[in-house]
Amino acid sequence: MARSLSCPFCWESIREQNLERRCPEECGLAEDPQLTAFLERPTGRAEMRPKSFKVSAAKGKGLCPHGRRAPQMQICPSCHNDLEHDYVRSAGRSRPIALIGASGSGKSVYVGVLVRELRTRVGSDFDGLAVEFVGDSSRSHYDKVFRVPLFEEGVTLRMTDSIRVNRRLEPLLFTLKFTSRQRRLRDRLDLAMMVFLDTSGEDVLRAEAMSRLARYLDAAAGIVLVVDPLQMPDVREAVTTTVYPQQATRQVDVVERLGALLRQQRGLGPDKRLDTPLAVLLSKIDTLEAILPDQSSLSRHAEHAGYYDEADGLLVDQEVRSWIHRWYGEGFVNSVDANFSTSRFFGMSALGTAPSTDRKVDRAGIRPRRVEDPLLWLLARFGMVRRGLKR
Amino acid sequence: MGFGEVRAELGLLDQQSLRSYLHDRFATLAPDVGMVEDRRKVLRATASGDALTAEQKLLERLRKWLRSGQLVEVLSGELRVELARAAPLGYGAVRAYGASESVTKALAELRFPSNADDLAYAVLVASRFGVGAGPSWRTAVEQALAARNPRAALALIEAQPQLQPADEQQRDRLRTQIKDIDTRLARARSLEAHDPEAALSEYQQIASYSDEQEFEEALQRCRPAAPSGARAASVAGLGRIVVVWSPSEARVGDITYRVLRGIGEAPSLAAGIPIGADAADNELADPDPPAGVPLFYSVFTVRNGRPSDAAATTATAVVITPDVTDLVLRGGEKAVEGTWRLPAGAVSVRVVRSTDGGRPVQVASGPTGFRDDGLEPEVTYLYRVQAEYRTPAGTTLLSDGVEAAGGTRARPRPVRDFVAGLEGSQLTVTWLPPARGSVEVRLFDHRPELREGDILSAVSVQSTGSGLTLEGPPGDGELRASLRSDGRQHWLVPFTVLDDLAAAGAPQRLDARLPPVRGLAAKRIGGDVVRLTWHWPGQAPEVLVGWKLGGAPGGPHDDAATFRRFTKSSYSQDGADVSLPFGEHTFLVCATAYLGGRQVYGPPTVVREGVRQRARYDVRRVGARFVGRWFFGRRRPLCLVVESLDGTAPPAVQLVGRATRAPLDPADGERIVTTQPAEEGDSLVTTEFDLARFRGARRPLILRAFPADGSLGSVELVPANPLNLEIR
Repeated sequence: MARSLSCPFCWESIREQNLERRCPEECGLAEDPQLTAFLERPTGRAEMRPKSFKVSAAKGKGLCPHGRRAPQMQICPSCHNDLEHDYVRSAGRSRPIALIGASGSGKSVYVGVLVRELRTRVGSDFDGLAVEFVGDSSRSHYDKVFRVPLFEEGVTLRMTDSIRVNRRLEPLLFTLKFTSRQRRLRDRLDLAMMVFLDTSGEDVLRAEAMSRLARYLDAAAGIVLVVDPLQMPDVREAVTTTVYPQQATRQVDVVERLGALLRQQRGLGPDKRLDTPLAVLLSKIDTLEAILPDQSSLSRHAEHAGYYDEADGLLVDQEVRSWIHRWYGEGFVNSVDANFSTSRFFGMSALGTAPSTDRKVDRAGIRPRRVEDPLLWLLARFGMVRRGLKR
Repeated sequence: MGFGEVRAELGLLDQQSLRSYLHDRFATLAPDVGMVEDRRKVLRATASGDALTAEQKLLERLRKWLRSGQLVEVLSGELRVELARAAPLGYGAVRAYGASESVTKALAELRFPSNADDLAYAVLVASRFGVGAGPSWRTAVEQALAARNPRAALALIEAQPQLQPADEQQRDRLRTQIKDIDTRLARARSLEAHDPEAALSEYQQIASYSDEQEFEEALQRCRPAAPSGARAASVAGLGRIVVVWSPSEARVGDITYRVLRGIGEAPSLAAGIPIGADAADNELADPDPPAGVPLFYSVFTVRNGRPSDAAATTATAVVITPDVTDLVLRGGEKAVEGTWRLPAGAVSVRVVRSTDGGRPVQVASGPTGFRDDGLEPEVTYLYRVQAEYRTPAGTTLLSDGVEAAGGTRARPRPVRDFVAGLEGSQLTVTWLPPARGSVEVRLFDHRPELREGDILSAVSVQSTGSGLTLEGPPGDGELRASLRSDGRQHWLVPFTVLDDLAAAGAPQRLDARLPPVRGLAAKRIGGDVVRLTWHWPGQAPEVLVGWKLGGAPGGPHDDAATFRRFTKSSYSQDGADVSLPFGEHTFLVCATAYLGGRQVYGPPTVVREGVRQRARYDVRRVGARFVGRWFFGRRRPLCLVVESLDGTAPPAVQLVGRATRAPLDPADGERIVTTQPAEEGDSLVTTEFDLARFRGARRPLILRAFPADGSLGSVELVPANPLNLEIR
């Protein structure tokens, strides 16, 4: 049976038999209109690539139509971006998780820190959970955009960084590999393909149905919406920090537009709630210490000792809902519940302490708090990790 | 020269006056010198004998008068004498002479007023009273009246032989006034016996316009009444006595009061000692009364400087017993010394020492000091010093006493938490400032033969090791200094200097290869976990973290402490989170490395953090599940279960509920029930409650427990199952 997958670039659904390959360069270069359009190149700056052909049209031993040995890399027939072998092979088990949030809400720092936490501390708690990037492109993407600035240069990421701008259309692909929970399949690994696309809340407000962004969100198995508490006027007045946002987006508008966009994409009526689980993630909670209550669950670290701590998750969910209700109003929580049948609220601090005014992270190091909670909740919903309730 | 010689010469020349001679010879009363010389020349040629000689002399005089300008004065004097000769003949004779042709002509030539009446009056006045002989009798009259002496003025007027009408009127007025004075004096005299104040008032009114000698005599006779109600009291602590009295009934004259002090009895005017100047008020302070003797005071009324015959006297004796002054206590190691100034009159001093709750003990003392030996060190005592006085009767009186706290001197304590960090040539030293004394840090090139707690003299500290080159003034518990980087190891020793002693702190080795850990912070992150963060110290391969309940670990080898090592990689990846038992812990963090085949440690840095008391809570249904509604006839009631997680007794908690949202704090919902603190030994507390008040409220009802009011912030409450806290 022919399998289908979603291209992690253009998010078109593709049948595997329709995947394409390119001729070797010896066959000559030609304008690639699909790739040129995807990369939004200006007129006269067309991308030049070897010609493509359908995999199913390949001659014996993988020769191109010109009879030359063609590279193994498959490309999306729609946008002509390279599709990594592992991605194509595991696409059936892919669980794309879309991450959206207003500009400056901290979602990029969150991804950068989350990946490292998964590869180190969280991985140890989950019996050797391994995180691997899909292809050199994602590895390079993570190194240049996230790892080097954060963990080597000790600076936070800026929206205007040229590297980030150049790579804004490139998804970050990584695979989570778990030892199978089924005793008889201990030699086999469970896989979850994570896809991160740098998507701002403002992009969501501007997006239209059937656009690439709409397809990306539609294809997501789970959505993480990062909410910056400092973009809430009352909070901004109540706390003192070095990271006041330069702009503020109405979060409730993002939720409403997100719901409308997905319903439109899926052809659902306004009376239908979306079944995609939504994790609402309150970021930068380190700046809120002065106004967090004495018994706040957010002040405690989570103990996911090999399983997702459902009890802790429920406590945090209820507290953040109350907290947002107190500081931001009822509209936001109600809007989430009205649009999504499954949602949970989280709080996290990616850096642990606010950076200095010149973007330097604390010299004592990056000490994240609760960054893994939303991902573990989604993985638990996907059945990839266990969940525990009673404490 | 007399004018008589001139008159004789004029007689030899048959001239009656100089004026007639001048008219005859020169035809003017104002010849010039040339005319006089011409006459002399003529005279030599024509005259001889006595006449010649007389006129020559006269001409010579005339020449001098002309040259000196005295001729007019000589002529006017001659004329005045002629007129005065007519004065005895009366005004008419003088006037007739003055109106004669020769006189009027002469007056005109001499440019004098020539009115005959004026001339006659002036001549007569001059002849009667003399010219320039003092004030006239009228002036004397005016002066007598101004001096309130009408009797003298009247006598002057009556002494004049002739009076003008105005003078006669004045004489009559004065006679009337003096008669009135005499009448009032008689009345005042009669009042003296039974109403001296009224008599003096009368005298005083008379004196306002007649300075009668009798007024002074009356003041002498009419002495003021004495004041009443004299009382004396000492002013506590000031060594003064204040005397107060009620005012005298005397009203006339300048009334003041004179206060006299006497010892043993009320003083008389003659024997008493005045205390200050006479007072106008009804109160006077005796600034320097003698101490330890009974004092009496008499208060006299004084009128115009004359005291009353009687006095108001204080009924009871006042004795003052001033305290010692300038009390100073000095604490020694086992003794306290005290000195003071003994007040005049005091014969000895009584000193009593006491402590909190202890029995007072009398301490042997001299008149100006004591030494209290054999005391416990570092104890504060309260000393009460009282001056003793001996009265003339032989009894002893004590002052109120002065109290002062003085303690035996504290021994200097070694500095704790001393941390020295060397980065390049920059030395930073921090310590926990001792409760007493100052800190002196000394530098050594070799490990000093000193141990923590060693006591030495403060003077010897300066000759121990060497001083630091400070960069700015040292702060309270911190100093910065520059240290030449010579690749060698150094030791630092902090000395706590207190008075003349110093206590050594633990020697601290400096090694630039292992810089101090900076930016150390500890933060409780929930549960029993404390997160430590720091700036990685330079190129140190490892950091050692040790912790102990309560005080800081004594060092890297403290058996009572727990230690963990962190590599830079493990710290960077996993951080430094440590699980701890309940209580306050002190962490010691230092860089460490193998150098020269042995483990060495950098300067330690310490920080404190605690783990809160932890308890788990849950909401359950009461009773076994199977009995259910059958047993209770309704849903089983609810109960709040609080269970300790760390072996301590469960704390008192309050259960708060809120519809649809979790309450964030006790004020964010409605209080349902408050549990009592568990008794000793209990690890679980169960409290039943009902939700009757929430009947009809929106669902779900979400419950949360919070520490009861008194323990907020010190307890962490963990819900056992959040689903049980949602009541649907």
